[in-house]
Amino acid sequence: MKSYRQIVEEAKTEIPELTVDEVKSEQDKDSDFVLLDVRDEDEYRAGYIPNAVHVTRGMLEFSVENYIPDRNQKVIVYCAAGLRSLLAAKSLREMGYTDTISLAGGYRDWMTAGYPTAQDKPMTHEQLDRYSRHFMLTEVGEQGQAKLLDAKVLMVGAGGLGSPAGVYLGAAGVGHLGIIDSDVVELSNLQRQILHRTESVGTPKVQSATTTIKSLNPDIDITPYNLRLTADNVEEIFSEYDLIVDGCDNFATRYLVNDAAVLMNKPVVHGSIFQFEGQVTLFKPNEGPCYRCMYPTPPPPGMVPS
Amino acid sequence: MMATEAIKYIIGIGEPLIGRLILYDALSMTYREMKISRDENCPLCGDNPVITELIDDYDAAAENPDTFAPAAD
Repeated sequence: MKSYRQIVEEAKTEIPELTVDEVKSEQDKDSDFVLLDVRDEDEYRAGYIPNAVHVTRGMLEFSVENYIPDRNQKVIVYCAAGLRSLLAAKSLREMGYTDTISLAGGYRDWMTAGYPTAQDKPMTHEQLDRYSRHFMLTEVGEQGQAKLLDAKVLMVGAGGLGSPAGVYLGAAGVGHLGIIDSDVVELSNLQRQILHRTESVGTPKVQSATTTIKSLNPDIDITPYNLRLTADNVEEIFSEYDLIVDGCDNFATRYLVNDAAVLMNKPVVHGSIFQFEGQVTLFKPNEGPCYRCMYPTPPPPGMVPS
Repeated sequence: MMATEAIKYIIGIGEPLIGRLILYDALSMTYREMKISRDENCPLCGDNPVITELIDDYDAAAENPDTFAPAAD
């Protein structure tokens, strides 16, 4: 039987350690390594080293691959004082990670040295409850939820495609949603456009969409734009957002969204649908194609199904 | 699907749909995946783009697709 001291001593013979000063200077040199925080949720919540990836010691073996897929990646592990990180670094070696290091003295020494720390905006009790099912998914967790709450997403169109997207994005807690649409709700929309209600017929779609999403999740901000996206207003509007969700219903807007997104370097989740068929992709400027790579110009007007 | 893709992108998890087009057919209940790649001759994001600013009037251009992109030199 081994005492914890023996286990730690054993780990020390296998795992190299760095001091906080050494890690800080690696960071300043922009060296290629991942900083891995293996402390518990509440410790992490109180503050962490900037850019650290957080996987609790308990979940380490189950989910570390999702964050660090490359087994040859240099990983510097830290905990509160440098013991759990030694054991975690040892477990990673057993999993085939070749270059794992433990931060001696851990977060405690990092703080004492006065090096920069970061803290996510603390979540309210209601948020911890509302998003609790996200926290159970190790890939999402509190870190992922914080990213969602910080995100700014613009939905172009609040119709057939925008409706399900808006409902899910709002419910998931995307912190800021912009919704642009110039139409009013018609009775014939209601069979599929689930953002709208019978009592909203005749009112602007953005207004009805805002009401529906707000009632699902009052925790987020929504900016409605009751107007048509044009070359004159697109840049001002897009500049406020990190990601565009294009669910528009016409070629003029689709090309406008694509052109503006490429020129402004904004990613676009693109969807379109006709009768029983739909398609979806993600256009990311400089990393993949854009809509014009597939269709340089739209089909002649007579060819367009409506 | 669009929301899932947006959420994945924001959190930075999974495989984003960059360069892949998913085609969904409800009647046969099938999904197909098509590889799509950047076209080096793309008028917008190609190696020698001819579109370097927005067109003035996209509605008018949609009526007459030839005007949607300036002719390549």
